[in-house]
Amino acid sequence: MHKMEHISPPQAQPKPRKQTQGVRKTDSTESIKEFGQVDVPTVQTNIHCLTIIGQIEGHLILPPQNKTTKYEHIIPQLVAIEQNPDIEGLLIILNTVGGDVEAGLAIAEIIVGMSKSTVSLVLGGGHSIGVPVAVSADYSFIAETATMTIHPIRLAGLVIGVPQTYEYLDKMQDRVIRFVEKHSDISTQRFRELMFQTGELTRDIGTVLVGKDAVEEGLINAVGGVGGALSKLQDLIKQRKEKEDVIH
Amino acid sequence: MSVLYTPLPLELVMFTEDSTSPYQDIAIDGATLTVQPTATGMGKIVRINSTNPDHYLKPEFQPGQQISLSKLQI
Repeated sequence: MHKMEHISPPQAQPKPRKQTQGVRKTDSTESIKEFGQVDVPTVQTNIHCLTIIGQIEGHLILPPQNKTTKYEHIIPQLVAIEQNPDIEGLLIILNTVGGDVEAGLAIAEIIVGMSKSTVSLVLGGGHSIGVPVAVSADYSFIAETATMTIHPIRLAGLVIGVPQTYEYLDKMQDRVIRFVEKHSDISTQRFRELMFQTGELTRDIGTVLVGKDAVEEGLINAVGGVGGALSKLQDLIKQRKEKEDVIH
Repeated sequence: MSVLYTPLPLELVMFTEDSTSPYQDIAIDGATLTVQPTATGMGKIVRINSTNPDHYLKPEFQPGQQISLSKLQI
């Protein structure tokens, strides 16, 4: 049993130091410095990591209880990565419940168009509009327990704003299907089949693919984790460099 | 015009009691931090938004840290 420790009243605590750096160091960092130890050397990494979490937020700001990935954050980051000569590879980690169709497709298209090596890893979930983002990388991984939900836009998807026609939603859906077909090994026909499958989802029609199911369907390249994803990314970077050496 | 493609039900996504976000974003040393303002001019770090993995290892960027909001606001 622990002895009850004496807790000093708040006013007796030392005043925080004047904020000159804008950031207060942790007590542990301070104590390390007191003992004369140096900071951990920072090595410039050649790989950057983009995490796409929660809802992909697009034209509408979602209510604050949603955890969101905003495309106005992501797109400039991707442009900066593309321009930075020190960055050679990008790891995209997904745990998303989907979101705005146009924002998701915009992110996916930027990743496809990048000249740097890209590897994606679906951890937890990569649902709905997360599917095109996952397949947009040069090589894609899915964790064994991760899931991807494929369902039609017009049933579970929600439409905000002006009255939508059925044809409009059909067009939106075709954009997603065409993108996925182009950037993965799945056929349009099979993707549609998965999309309209009945009996798997309670509220909707569609399919939930778990880990290796997504690989067997040709949507994702391999089952794996972060170690596998990073070594694949290093391989791709190496291959790209060798190719460039041949050209020059 | 906005179309959401998500398996989450509409009422869960759009449910709201208070639509004002308690957070604000600040840019510091190449990273964007989401902070929750606490005392005047100070905020608690809630989230780091950066693609540079090194930013996540910085002790002063760890979520829960207090940070001055006098830095450039975005």
